[in-house]
Amino acid sequence: MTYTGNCDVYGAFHEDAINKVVHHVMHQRPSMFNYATFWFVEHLVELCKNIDAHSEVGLKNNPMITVEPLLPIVGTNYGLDFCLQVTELELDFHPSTNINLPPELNPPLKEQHLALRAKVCVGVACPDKDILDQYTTTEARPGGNDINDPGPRTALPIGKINCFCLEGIADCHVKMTGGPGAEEVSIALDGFEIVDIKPEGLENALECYIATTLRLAVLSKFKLALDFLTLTIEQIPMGLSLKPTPISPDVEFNPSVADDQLAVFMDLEVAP
Amino acid sequence: MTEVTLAVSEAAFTNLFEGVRDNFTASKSDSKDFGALTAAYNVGVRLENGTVDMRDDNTVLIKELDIVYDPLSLTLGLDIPSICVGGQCILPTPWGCAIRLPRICVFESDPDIEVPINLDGVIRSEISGSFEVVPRHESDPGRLAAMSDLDAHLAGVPDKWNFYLDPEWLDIDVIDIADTVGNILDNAVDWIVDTLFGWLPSWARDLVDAILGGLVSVVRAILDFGDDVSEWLSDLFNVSFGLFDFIVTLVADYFAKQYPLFGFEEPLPLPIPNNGLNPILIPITDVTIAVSNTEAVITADVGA
Repeated sequence: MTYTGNCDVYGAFHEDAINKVVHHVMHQRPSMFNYATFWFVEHLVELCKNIDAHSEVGLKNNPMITVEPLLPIVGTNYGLDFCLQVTELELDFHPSTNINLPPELNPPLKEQHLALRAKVCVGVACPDKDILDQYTTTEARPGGNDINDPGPRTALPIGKINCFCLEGIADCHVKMTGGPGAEEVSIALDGFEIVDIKPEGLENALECYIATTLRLAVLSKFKLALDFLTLTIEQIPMGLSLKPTPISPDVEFNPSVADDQLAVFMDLEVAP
Repeated sequence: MTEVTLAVSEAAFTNLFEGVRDNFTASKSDSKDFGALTAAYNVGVRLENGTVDMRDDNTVLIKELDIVYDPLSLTLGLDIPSICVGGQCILPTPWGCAIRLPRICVFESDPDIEVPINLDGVIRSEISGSFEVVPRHESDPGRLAAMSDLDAHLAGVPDKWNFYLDPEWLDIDVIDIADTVGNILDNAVDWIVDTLFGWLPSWARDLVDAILGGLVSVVRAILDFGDDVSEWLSDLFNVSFGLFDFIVTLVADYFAKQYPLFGFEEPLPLPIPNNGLNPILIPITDVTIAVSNTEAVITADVGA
């Protein structure tokens, strides 16, 4: 079997390799997967799920968490501490073997598609009722009553952290993005489904929120730059670069998702 | 089951080889004393051209890789036996000699003369060889034992997977010594004769010429050119200086140990933005390479 019959350079990454890379990213850059208010930075043990971080994260003073503002209590200047953690993320390239698509995503997984499973845990710090009673006697919006500007929010005292976890499955495909010379292989999310949540509107809202978070906060950072090899391999002569092999009857998909792996076909380009 | 596969066509492999080839430079100087003749040379060597032929037996055949000798300078030093002429008494008196011919001694130094000869581009030779592509996991010598992988990466001394061309055999072939070398060396002989003897008065020059049996022939005899100047030059560099063996050893060592065909850091930094945070390092294990007549296929796994 010849890999380079229709290209100069061929790269293929099995789903096991990609999932190990995802694990390394979660381990070495936890702030990409863990979002919470500042209170949790000093109370990591209170998170819904303990962060399993590489020792270098602490040694180099890298953050465990990306800090987010308080969850607003509408109509007030108060807010609640909360955390949102992507605790599991797994990919399964066509044909699907590890992740079963739910009926809402029209199984089986289509050719050239990949399934993505994500587990998200959310915790909201709920104030004790007794303490909360004290706040009902004070002005709810002490900074004023400007409905267009709530001003800085004040965290309510923390009582119990209420955690829940949701598991969702996504149907995705890969695509080539970026302009000439800056092509990247990125993951596009076609559909996301959380199973067994009622009412349907709540399910849809949560699916929308989690899918948007995955798209913008996680998947947008998982891109494979096509010049990865030229950046990685120091010995590639000056003036040489890689460009995607054009689609043709011989290369029907580029990138291609098949046989449990992601494959990329590239041609060498000599600078004029 | 292979986790990562990277295949490189013969054309792309050739591009990588050309990068390694063009990075090769070497220089050497040496001198030898052959009695009446001393020879010293200074050479700079680079590689050009060459064809890459990947083969099904997991080897790469590289043919007609030109060795370019530029610069190549040869300095010849001649030690001619001392000769003194004149000094005879032309007006003897009872009290001794009143007038003597001036006494002139020549060739009292060692060497008496040194002539630099520019041989840039005169010698053409080429190397051919069969190579196995060998992956090696190498630690940077600058890496301290206490360094973590991240510290080593940040300090610019990470471990690497490097792929070398390890020669199974390597031959050098002296293709040609340009015909112009005859003229170059003839001109050198003329220059030596002019420099050595041109300043002498004509009578002394004739006398020395008579004593030595021909100035040009004595210089050529010391240089020992023989009938074939090209062969003389080839023997000088090959046999006396061992230059060609040195180059073969140097090229073999360069491809096999010094300059990899390609390589990458291990653990491999993931090419995503860091924004001041630790780079994400991915361990790469079980690296292999297999060569066929159409492509080189690298396989690897992602470490846990």
